[in-house]
Amino acid sequence: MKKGNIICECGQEFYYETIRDYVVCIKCGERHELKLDSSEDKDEVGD
Amino acid sequence: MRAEIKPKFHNRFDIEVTNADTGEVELRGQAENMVLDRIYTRLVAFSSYFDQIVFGTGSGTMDPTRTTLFNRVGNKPCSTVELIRAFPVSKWTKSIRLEATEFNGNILTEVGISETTTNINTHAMITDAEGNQLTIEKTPVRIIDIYATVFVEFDEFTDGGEWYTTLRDYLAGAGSVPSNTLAISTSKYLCQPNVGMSATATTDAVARTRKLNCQFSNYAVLGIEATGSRYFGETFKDRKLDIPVDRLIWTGVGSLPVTFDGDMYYEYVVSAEEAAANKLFLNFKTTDIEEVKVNGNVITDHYFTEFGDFNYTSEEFSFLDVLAVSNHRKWQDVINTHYYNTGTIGSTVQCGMVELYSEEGFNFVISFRTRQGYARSFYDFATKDNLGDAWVNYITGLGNSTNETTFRYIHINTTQKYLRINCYITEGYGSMELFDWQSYLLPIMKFNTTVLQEGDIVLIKRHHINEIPKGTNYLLNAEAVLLLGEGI
Repeated sequence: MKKGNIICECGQEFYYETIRDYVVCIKCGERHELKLDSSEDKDEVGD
Repeated sequence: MRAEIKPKFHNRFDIEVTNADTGEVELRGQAENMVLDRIYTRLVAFSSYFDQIVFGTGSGTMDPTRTTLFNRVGNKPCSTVELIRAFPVSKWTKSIRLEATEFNGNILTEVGISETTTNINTHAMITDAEGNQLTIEKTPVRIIDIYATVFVEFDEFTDGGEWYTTLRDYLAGAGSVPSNTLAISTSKYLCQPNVGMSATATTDAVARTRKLNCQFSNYAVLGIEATGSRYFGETFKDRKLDIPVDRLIWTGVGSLPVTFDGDMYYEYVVSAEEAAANKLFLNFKTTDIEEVKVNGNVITDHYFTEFGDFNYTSEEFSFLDVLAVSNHRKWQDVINTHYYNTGTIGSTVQCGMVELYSEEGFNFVISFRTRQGYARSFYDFATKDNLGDAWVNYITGLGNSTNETTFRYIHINTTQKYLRINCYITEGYGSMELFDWQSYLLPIMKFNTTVLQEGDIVLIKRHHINEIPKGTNYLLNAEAVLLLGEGI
């Protein structure tokens, strides 16, 4: 399960938990690829 | 005082049929649900509602009063595939898998979610993408994944309210549930002081409501009678700040604007200092006054000095100059960021000093929230009326407090034209943090021809809109209603 917080380019902030390798913004539908290591613009944290 | 909030709730299913031999997806179905009445018996009690997916082979007329499928075949505990928590919309997807060896020979037509194995909270008939009814036969070569997604939507406030996350996180993701605590609060000060108390919860699954009720009669934090360790100062006739309630807070649910439309009367006994200056120092942050009476006679020649936030610059008020501001980090931090962390205090330290000049005197407030270890913050105030005069201690050591997290107000009235504030923090073996530190000038009422005498009674009628005043006989019945609805 991957967990983290994302601020989408559309401005929507959200927390996610997912077994998938991506998460889709609930506001604009943009797909965010998830990695186990966090990146500067997505702030994901894998567990 | 009553506040009502209406999160909406919706659920859908996606069904994926995979060939166990080839691994190819050979069929997809979906199901838009009906939220059943039963779910509200769970939600209004803040109980679990989404632990199982129940499936069946029946058909019939959908009815929200149903509590079971038409013909249940089985159930499986579901596990989270994806959880998105956000405002205004959150979603929570859980799934089950019917393995190749399971439930064969059944032709699936209906699904539902539940916290248990038989009764259901939502009910849906399986369809294809166009909405046509679809039946899915379970065979030994078919693996069926059933995904159930719950959507939760919160209305966006347009009038200054704010949702908290606990309720959302319970509805989306089975987080902890909100407590039965209400608080009255104000947005009129940056630190937003509040006072809370336990409330009585009542639930009505038919009306889909959970209500909290309580009666506030606590003078400790908000209102004219604010006293005790939270309130410091020296004011004419010992006046206290009027801090009207404009928010009802349901812990874990939200800060909700309140509606109110009514008059409030403020009675002032004119002090000797005010009579000498022919000014009245008000104890509220507005000048929307409807009527002023002096000793029972209506007067109309009054006007007000400027008032509002004060950030220690000479440009903010025409009658006020900043003569000196020390470079101590505390003062720079609280003035510029409204926050300061002392770090560990080992001895009494000077934290800041300002010298101010005001042609009108000072109707002056400092307010903040503090989290304290065993360190204590003090403010000394000194005044004088002429530049060449010696400073005279007006009041010393304001702001002492114990090891706690709470709100602080310091309220100063003086007709003297020079004011010096000297802040220091005394040693202990801890630290303290100051949050939402704010200085404020309250209005001073002046007159064109009216002359005040010491002991005069000034009665001010003020109209309150969406802020509830506190009088000396203060009892406030509060009710917060959570109304759960179907939608999105």
